[in-house]
Amino acid sequence: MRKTTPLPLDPPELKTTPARRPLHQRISLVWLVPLTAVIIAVALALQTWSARGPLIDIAFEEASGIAAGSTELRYRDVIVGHVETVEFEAGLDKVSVKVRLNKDIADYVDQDAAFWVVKPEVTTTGVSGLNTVLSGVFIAGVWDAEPGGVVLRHEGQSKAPLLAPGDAGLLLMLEAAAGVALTANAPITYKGLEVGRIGTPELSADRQIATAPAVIFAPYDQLVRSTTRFWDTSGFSFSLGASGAELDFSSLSSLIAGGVSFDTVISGGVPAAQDDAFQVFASQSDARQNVFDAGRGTGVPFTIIFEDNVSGLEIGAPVEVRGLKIGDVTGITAIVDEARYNDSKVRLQISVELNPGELRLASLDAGVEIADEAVDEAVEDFLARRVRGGLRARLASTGLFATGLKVELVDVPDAPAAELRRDNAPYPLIPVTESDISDAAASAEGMMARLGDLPIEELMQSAVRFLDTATGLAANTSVLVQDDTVRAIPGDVRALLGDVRGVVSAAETQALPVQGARLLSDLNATVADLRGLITQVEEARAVEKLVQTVEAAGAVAASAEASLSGVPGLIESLTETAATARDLPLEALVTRVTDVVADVETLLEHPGTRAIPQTLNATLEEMRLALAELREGGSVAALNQTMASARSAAAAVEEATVDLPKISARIEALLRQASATLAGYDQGSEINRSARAAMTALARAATAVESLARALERRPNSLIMGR
Amino acid sequence: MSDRADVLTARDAGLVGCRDCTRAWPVTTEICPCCGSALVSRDSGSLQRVWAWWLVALICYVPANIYPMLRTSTLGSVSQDTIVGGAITLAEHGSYSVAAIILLASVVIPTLKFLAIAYLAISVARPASTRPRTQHLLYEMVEYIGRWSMIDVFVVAILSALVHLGSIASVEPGPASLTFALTVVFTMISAQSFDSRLIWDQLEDEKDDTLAP
Repeated sequence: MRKTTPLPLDPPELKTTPARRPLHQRISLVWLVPLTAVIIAVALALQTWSARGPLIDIAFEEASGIAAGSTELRYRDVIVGHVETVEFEAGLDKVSVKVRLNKDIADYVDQDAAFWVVKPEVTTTGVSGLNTVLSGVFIAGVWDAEPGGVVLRHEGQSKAPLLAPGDAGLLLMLEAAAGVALTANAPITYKGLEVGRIGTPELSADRQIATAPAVIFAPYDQLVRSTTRFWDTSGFSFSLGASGAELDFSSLSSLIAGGVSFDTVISGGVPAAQDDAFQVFASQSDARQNVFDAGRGTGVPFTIIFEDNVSGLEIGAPVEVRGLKIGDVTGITAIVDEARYNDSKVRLQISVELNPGELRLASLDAGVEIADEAVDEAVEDFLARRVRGGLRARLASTGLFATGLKVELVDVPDAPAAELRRDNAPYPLIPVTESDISDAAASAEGMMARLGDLPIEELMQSAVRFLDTATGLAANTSVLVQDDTVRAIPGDVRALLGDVRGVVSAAETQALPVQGARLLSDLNATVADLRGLITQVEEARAVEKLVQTVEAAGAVAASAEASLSGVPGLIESLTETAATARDLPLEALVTRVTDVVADVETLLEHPGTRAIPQTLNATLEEMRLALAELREGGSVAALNQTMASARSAAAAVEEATVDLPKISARIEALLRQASATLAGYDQGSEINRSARAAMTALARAATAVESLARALERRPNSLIMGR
Repeated sequence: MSDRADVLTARDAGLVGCRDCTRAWPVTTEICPCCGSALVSRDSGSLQRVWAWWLVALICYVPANIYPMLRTSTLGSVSQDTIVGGAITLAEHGSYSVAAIILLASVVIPTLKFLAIAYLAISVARPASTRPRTQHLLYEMVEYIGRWSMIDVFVVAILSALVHLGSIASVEPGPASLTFALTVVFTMISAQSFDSRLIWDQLEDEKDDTLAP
């Protein structure tokens, strides 16, 4: 659109280009910005590069849970590096984990650094690494505080080292004795305190025993000395012996997780050095037992040759002096030595080792180190002296019922002279004496024989004899009672006597304990009462029998007392009798009869009966007294008194003979009234029946009193003299 | 040719436009009487500034892609992802749309912006066949779209502010988020430094060239 008109006035338009400004003017200051950015970037890169620690290579068996880029390396739980790559080593048999270390820590990661993967673990000893459940596993590393220059190649371990490098503690090697199972990671306790830990057990090079590294942490490592013994506290032990049953376990945790404890039983010894080997015994007692053995390697060997049967003697059986163990049986062999013994008998050659430590020989002072030969010499000298003085070896049972045998060294005072044969091969020969083997079977037999010898038959015969005699006595008594002279005393009095006897036995036996002695004393009392009765009756014919009976009963009593257990049958029948007697409702009967007597008294008080003379009242009074005595649980003596009362009553009756028919009538009336009274009570009850029987007896007694009165009139002394 | 013909630039008219208040003044005016900003018909240092900021942005864009954008720790397990890595993770989990948005906003758009600014700066410096109208459209687009690249940074900022539950779950911005934000800022500055009037100068030159003979 522009018009270019060539005007002469206007100079031609110049095509101008502005002069180029100098470089420093043309370049904008804004370039400083990218320059700064570059500088910053380079500086950052350099800084990062220089701060980068070395990349170390840790070879693990497996890389469980290790993630490239995120898994951390921690030292004392502080992150000191990160895993950069996880790859296989050539041959695929290991995993190479490359860890970028922090630069500041790198110098410490020298040859003794140890690495392991911390994973969550639940074991019998507890839960560990729980924090890794969420955050993932990490590699833990330990190294000492001495910078030794970074080592780029490490072997990873499967478990944390027992003793971290740089930590104070004592590393030991534990060897499991027979019956001991070492558990990895189990605690080592000292008086209940956890002072160490067991590593992973392994088979020894010769595959004979299991060994496990173990650590005792400082400061407890000072407790371990050469005389220290370790024992297994895991599980529980159950032993049943002469001292009773024993269940033993140290703690619930060691029951589950296992564990080892140790103690230094005897003083002395030197502090244990690193990597010393110790044996772990099955129990504390084993360990303690062993302490003395180890005082000096092996014992002093001797030979003993027995001609006895040695079944029951085992290797390891003790050699004892007065119950104190001084050595062990180390070997049992059979020998046939015709040259020496001039026969071809098989003898048993026993090798024993005596522990010089146990012998406590004055010449072997514990503190002084003596050569083994000198110790052997000293022990042999000692034994030779003692053998000359009568020391002999013999076999002995380990217990009354045990079948095991032990070797005992005993002093036999009158032993034939013998010497310790020091020239015997392979070891010096200790002379022997007769064995002392207690035969449990023989003892039991003897006991049975003695039991058999007990006079049970005789005892039984005595009892039978006694019973026969008692029966005869009863028969005689009934003959006596039915005798014409005594016939005046009616059979009802006999019935009364029977009742009284029942009372006696009831009263006696109610308090009767099962004990035989008491029963026997009662029996004696009964016998005595019987004797008294018989004396009173003065039955000439019966006396002999009675005396015989009493004697027999006395003999029975003596026999029974001598062997109470032999008369259970007798006691049983007596108890039965007692029970039967107890069943009688005697107390109730007595009460009823008392009531009747009371009624009788009421009757007598009645104006209509005042005519009855005072003598009858006295008779009734006597009867009541007799009844009271009966109620008091009286003995046969009560019967005697009753009889005496009856006699005096009879005398009184004699004085008032004229009134007797009247008395009888009154009594009869009274009885009728009494039975009418009783009829009011339950007809069927045992009490009622007994009371009725008693009433009947009383009625008969009244009749008897009447006839007695008549008889007494005729022969006043018949009651005493009989007939 | 037609679009060139009917365009009258302020310079042609002997005027200079104020870039701040858009008021046109006679070309000799040095200070805008209206808003007080310096008036210059053509910014001679514009391209230098464009390239300078472009370079800074490019420098920042490198760590923005190398370093993790987001560090997510859930129950102790820490995971960190770069921009591309995060998009790939999302795609692996099936969230293709989200992955596509992230890729678009954080990778494609910034890259295109770099290319667009570079192309504009080059094409303005040496006359090319591209029509100024297209160039201007491109410039407008770059200016407009530039701010949306910050979407990634915003997401990170909001997430790290919201998800802060201690050890259970927490989101922290990674080093890449800062450099990515710087990249966006610097590309925007770069785009703003571009004097769009330069586009029309080559038109002028062309006119001169065509009319001169």
